Amino acid sequence: MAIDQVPANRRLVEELYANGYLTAAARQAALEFLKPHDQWSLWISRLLLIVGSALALSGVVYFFAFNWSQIPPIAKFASIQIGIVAAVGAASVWGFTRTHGQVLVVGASVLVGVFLAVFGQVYQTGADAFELFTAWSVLILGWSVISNFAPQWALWLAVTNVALGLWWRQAALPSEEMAFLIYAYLALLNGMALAVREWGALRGVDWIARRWTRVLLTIATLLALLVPASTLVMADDPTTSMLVAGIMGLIGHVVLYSAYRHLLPDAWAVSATVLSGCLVLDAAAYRILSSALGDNTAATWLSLGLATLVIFATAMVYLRSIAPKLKAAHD
Amino acid sequence: MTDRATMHRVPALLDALARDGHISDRQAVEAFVLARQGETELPLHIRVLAGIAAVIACACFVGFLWKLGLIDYDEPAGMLLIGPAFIVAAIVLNRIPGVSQTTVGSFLLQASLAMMATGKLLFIIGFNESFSTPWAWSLAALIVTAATYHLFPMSIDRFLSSFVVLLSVMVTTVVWGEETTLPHELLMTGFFGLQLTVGAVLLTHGRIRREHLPLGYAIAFSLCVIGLTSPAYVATYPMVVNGMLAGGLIALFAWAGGGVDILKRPPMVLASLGAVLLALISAPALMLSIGAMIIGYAKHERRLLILGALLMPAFLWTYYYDPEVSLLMKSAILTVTGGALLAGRFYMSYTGKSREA
Repeated sequence: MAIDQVPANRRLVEELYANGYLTAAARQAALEFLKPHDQWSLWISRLLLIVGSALALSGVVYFFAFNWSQIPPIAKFASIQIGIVAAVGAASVWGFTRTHGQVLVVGASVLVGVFLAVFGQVYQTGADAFELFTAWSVLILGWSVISNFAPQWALWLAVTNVALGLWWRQAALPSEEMAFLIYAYLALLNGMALAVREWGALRGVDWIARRWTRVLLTIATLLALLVPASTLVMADDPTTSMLVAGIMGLIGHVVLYSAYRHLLPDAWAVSATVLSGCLVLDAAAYRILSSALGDNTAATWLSLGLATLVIFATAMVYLRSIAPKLKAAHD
Repeated sequence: MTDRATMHRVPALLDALARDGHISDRQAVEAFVLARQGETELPLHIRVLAGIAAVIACACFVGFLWKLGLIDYDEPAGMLLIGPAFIVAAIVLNRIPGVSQTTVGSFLLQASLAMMATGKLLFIIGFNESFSTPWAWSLAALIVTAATYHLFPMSIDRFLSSFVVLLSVMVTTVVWGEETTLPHELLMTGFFGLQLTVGAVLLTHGRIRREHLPLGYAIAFSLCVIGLTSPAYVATYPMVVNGMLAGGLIALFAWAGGGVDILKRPPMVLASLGAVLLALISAPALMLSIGAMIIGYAKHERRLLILGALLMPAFLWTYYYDPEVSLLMKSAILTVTGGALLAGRFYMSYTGKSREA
């Protein structure tokens, strides 16, 4: 590695100091260069805002939990609705593009869910949980669109995933033949969100381009692809939905790998996809070995252990070989 | 809370230091920096891959030994022999020259990790079955961890083994501590204080070698477990633990700022008062969370930043179920503390401290 590619950080400064290459004054100057005091003040300020908001909001939630049975319905509704209006009103004043406003919109979105839960409880609507989550997802979609805030979208996506999963169990009521299709739907939902994220990032939308959004969405998509793919390779007599979702899972792995290996090089995303692929291969190895070795379970365990090591070792070597290319492309 | 600071490169740092006359022999510094790069371990994502493979393979090997009848609770001596044999084989495999550079090398590397895990597991089970004391498994874990820490240079093994030792001591102290001659609370508080001290040194001191970092992370995780687990926390002297944490946080502010003088600045005075407030309301996990985030931010260690960020919701979740304090009291504590922290934040905005240059 060339010297101009080596990152300068606190660990390096401390090691230079520890080995006598820097004096105490030089160490202090280096730390000031890396982390000027204005950054520390800004960071402390943000820390106070986030921790303070989280504690204060939790205190309110605890208070409601303590007094829940004694609070009359009108007070429950009024307090939650006032909270929603106040949060959205304050966010409008501060502006949806500033951190204060964006955090307040997330708070309002959480309160919408609380409101729907209380509404169902007070009026005994008999609504299924999926209806609550669907309504919640629809009601906060508008705020998500105008918030330009990745955590707000993460909340919306989490609520929508739960709504979809509950709908499948409570309303769709699939037959055994169709049960695995939910994984295809979840993979499509999270995969589309990932595609939108990449589209936005390529067009220079800063707030969506944070690294964690890609990691989160890639993992969510891979989980929905991994389960049906590994189930398919282990099944003796797959159902129609297992076949459809499983094939989609296998194709999805190839698509994700191609995208993050060639189009948008990213070591973490490629590694996550390769790891998921290794687990599918391991499942296939188990099926092959248990069929071939029959009742000799000791031999099955031993050969499966060795097969696991071969599969993952090959993956490790491959990932190490492409790591410099991915890094160069990413830089 | 993410680290959004600019990522600098070495030449820019050295230019800045040279401009102010802090460096006389730049070539020597660059040579040291480049030599240090050669010590770099596998990237984290590849270590994760190796760790998962080792766990699956270890489970398969244990299944194999079980089926062969070599794991027998009535004959722990067998496990005490097979376990160390696996450990020795793992160390030998790991020392084969050029390991990890080829497919065969990577296979051997992962096989060594899986064998090390299997060997340690067998030794701990065998040792525990051989001695009728609740401390046996802690002692066994300590023996194998200490014996292999320097011989087996894989950080994931160092981290997991050290964490198992600390976790076993914690569980044994909580469950069996009352049977010891020393007061139960004294043991647990001493254990906490020792971990806090060693962890602070390992994670913040400049002269600590890289190979000891996994131990530092294991201690950080162990402290978080104690902070989050009500039975472990109440087994300490809580006020002493809170005092240690608040003092540790204030010391951390001074360390991060570069010296004790920094504590005289208004934002740091506020932060120190916040630390005392958190100690008064008995929120150890919250103080640990903030401490992990400060070290993570100061040292560009994303893992500690993430640990600190995840600890926050975990604290709020477990605090709800804490039987020691009523819900109404918890509500008041959280609201007042949150309000005080927000007031500090608005004071900083009002006085321009959050934007000062």
